Amino acid sequence: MSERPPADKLQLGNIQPDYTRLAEEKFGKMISEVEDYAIFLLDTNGTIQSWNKGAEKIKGYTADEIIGKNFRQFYTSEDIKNELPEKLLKAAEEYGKAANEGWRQRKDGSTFWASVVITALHDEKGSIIGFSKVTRDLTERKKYEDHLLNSAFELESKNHELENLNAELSAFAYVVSHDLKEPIRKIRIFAGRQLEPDKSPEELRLYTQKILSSAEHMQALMESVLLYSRISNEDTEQETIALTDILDAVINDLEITINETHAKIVAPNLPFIKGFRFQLHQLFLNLLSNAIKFAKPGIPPAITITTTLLFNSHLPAELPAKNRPHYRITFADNGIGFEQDQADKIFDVFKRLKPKTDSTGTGIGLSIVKKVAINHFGYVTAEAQPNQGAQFHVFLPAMD
Amino acid sequence: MIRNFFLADDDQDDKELFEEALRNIDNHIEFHTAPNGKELINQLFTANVEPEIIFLDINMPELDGWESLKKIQQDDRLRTIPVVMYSTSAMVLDGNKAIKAGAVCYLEKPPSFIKLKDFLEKIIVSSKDGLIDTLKTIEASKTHNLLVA
Repeated sequence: MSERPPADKLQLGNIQPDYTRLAEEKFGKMISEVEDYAIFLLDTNGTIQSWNKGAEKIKGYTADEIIGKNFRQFYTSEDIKNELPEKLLKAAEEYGKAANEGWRQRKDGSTFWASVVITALHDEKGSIIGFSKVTRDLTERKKYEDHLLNSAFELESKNHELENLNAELSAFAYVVSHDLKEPIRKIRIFAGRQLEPDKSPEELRLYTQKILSSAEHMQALMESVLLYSRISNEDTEQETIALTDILDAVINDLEITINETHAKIVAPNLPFIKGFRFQLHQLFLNLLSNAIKFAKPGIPPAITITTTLLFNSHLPAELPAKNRPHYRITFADNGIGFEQDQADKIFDVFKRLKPKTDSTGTGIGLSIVKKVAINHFGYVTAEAQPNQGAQFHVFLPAMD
Repeated sequence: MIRNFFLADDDQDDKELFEEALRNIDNHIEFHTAPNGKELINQLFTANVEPEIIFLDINMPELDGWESLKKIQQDDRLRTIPVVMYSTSAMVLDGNKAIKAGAVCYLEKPPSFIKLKDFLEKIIVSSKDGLIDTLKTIEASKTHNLLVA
């Protein structure tokens, strides 16, 4: 009983308790104990005036280390250069609050994805006395979103790839039903004619020659189908390639033809690109041998390969990543050219613009060029006038 | 009797075989050729060529068989000339497409000279008005890979 406080003291304590002050105290405690949010006060200049557990956990500074410093130091140097902290304060001043998401820096220099709300604090007269700043660490969510975005992109490009494969397969079916059938039909016809009665030895010889050249054509077709099917990104790794090396190797392959036709090939400043060596070799080989093959009679082929770095608006819409810079590598020749309205068809499998004159031409060369370009996330277009030469533009992504 | 033929085909062998077959049947048949659709259309519009039947190869440079057929169908005078789509590709693949585009029939290029001659012989003796009936008879005999409208 003696431990009971004297009645007069009790009386004193019974004076109206200051509920507002108690609540403020509790509220302050609550904020300082919150761990999932960084909650702190800034003065009108952005100087940090308070610090809670969440802020320490998220940003890595203790209260002693950071109070009195400017909140600008949480931002990346890029954001500081762009005056993002100042802009946010200004927006909060103007509109009452400012929200923002972005990368912020911890004490140890590492970054996290922050969701920030800055709220302006006013006195009774309505003038600004400072700001509250609430920050959440949403790095995990950001990572998940980026992952989703990447997956969507991957899915889209896989889809694109499948569509291409599908179109290729239909083209292949048509090839089998038409182009490969043709030499077989010829062999049957001319073998049949050899069995007709009363044929002269000259006629029989002629039929034999026709059979042989059909068989030759058949073989060339089958080899090009095989080559076409080998133009694939599977089982090969991309490497950094100097296109001058590719050109040198192709010129070496074409040495005999180049000497016979007195062809001139000029290629200043070919770039380095990321790609597949075998495929790029085929691209150069087919474009160059085409330019030599379709030279004007009696005029030695002259081929110029020029490279230009191009951005967005100057790139064809068919490119999968138009926002990246691309090289345009132009193969210009002085040959017989073709009508501009044939420029798209020229890349179709087994399409030949010129009449069939030799049995080794299969019409697959330019479809290989197109396939290689597409496999490199690029594209190819053609420009020409009859008798004014042709220009083939190969677009390939520039290296980062 | 059908006595004026036009063949548009870029394949030299096929052109020679076609001509030889016609000459073997009747040396007086008129025969015109073009190595592509563009030249066919040119000849039909500008030269004094009035074929009673046109054979159209499908895969040709410049203007292919399909585009040529479209151009023929767009012209009131030319539309009346029967067109045979004449190609290596399988009848099941391009036959219906040919009929839809306005050809009287689709004929897969025959695998022998004798068969080609046989087909042309039957066409030649047919009257112009009876052409469809003649074609239908050939189709029913199953001696050729033929699809008639």
